[in-house]
Amino acid sequence: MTLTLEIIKNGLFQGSLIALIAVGFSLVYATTRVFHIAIGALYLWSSYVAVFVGQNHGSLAVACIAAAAAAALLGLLLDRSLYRRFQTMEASGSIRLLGSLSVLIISSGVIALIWGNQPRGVSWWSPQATVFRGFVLSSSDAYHLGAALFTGVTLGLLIHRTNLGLHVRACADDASLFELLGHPSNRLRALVSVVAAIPVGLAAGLQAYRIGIDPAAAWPITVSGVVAAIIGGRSLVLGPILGAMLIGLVRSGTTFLFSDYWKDTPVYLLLLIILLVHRRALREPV
Amino acid sequence: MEYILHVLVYWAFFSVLALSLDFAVGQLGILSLCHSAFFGVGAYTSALLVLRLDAPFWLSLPAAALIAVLLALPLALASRRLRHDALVVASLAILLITVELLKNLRGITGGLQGLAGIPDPVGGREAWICLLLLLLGISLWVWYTITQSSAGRSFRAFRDSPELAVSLGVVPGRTLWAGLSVSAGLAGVAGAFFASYIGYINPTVFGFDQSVLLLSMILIGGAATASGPLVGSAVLVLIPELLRFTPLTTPKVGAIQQALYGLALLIVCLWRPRGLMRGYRFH
Repeated sequence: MTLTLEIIKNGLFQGSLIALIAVGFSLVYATTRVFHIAIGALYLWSSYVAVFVGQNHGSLAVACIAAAAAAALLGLLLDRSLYRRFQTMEASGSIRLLGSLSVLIISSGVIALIWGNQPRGVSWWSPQATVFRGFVLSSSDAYHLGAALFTGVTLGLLIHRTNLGLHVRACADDASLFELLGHPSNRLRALVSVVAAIPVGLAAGLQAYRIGIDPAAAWPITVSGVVAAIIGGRSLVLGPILGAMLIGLVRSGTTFLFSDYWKDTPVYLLLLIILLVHRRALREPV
Repeated sequence: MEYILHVLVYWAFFSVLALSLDFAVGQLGILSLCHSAFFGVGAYTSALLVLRLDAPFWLSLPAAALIAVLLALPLALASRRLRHDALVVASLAILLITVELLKNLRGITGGLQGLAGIPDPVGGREAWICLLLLLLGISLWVWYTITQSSAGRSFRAFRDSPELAVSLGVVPGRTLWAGLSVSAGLAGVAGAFFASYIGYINPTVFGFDQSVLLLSMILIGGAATASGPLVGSAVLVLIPELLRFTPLTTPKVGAIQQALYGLALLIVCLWRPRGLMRGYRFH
């Protein structure tokens, strides 16, 4: 029983990190119809910002804020320079995906050129661990869960209780009609790209606190976030979060049943199965 | 001279791979990100047969092609049901699953350590370049024969308008399966040759970077043309080789290569959608 609860606990904490990526992806994908795989690039750059700001400042909170700000800025830049051009060109969904993918590839190459591909530890932060009723709880896990809850509640209220959220949902449902009714879709998409990038930066900052920088880890986290968003369906916030928790549990369970080597394989398998079974898992291109 | 021959060998390998990918991308309109998976399973099949069962290299070629063709089945199924970015994502998922299996079935594939000591059936760089130019010639002949045939017309009809093609009698399942079988089979054979030429393979060689590189070759050169894959592979094989003459270290060369591939892909997506040889434009 304790082992089962331990697996569930680990799964939920892993899912918390993935949820931050999933929500960011979901919001941008819904409003721009760009398969926003470049979210991995935002995550990568933000993690380096988090480490370098933390190195100079020594505060986790400041580092996370800096990472979130960097991600927001990059998200805006991406929307203005690339995604808006895709809208103008009326590019197909495949071309949009490849364009977004190329940003991730370029970012990975540039980062490897500047800082190398090796993981970097963060020696001035060390997560604190406590034992609670037989469970080991680390501060980094608590921060992840807290960040996911905070993001879920804040964005959930924003999307479902505000006028802005109404516009976001309208644009996500039918962007053409939204524009036809005179709403400035470009401005809305730019705002969404900023808001969606903030949880990604937060995730990068918290993960930097937990394990430092691991460029190779960005890819599986990105794919997990994307899969979680797809599982979440048309929901913009709650669906991706629940999908992320499911992914986290799958990964945790796989690590326990098989080994850590296999933890990503079921995620990819789940992605393929969902796409094949649920043909409309992805939104139709605009 | 050895170095020039080595570069030519690499160009020939990638030209064959790019031509095989053109059946999926240029002829069927499937922007597949899993082509290196076919390449990889072909290489592993040949290597395992040669190393573990002492099979002759030439007998491992049809086996490599067959296993690669079987791996194309999920992609054919996905192509039947999905379009646009959903299909690209599905192909990516197939690639990731294949690479994970190659990495983690350590008892069979050697895991990340890979398979070493694959014997060279030919011997000598000059003999390899002749063999690969022959393979390239055969690939070009296959490409021309199929694309100029009724099968090729069916592929392109399905690419341009699946609904209209079906109404004109094109059977979608059979068309997709035929095109993807040729694509995967040719890639599998190229993989077998690659494994024997290099003498060592590991899963990282056949991963996501390789797939993006192959797709970039098609898009840069021009899809649905014979010269496009050859030009695209020449461009993307020569650039890394030119970087070797700079004082940069090998990891930095790898990083620059990666960034350049991504940049080339982005440029094609935004400004040169038909590629250098003015091939098919993806809508």
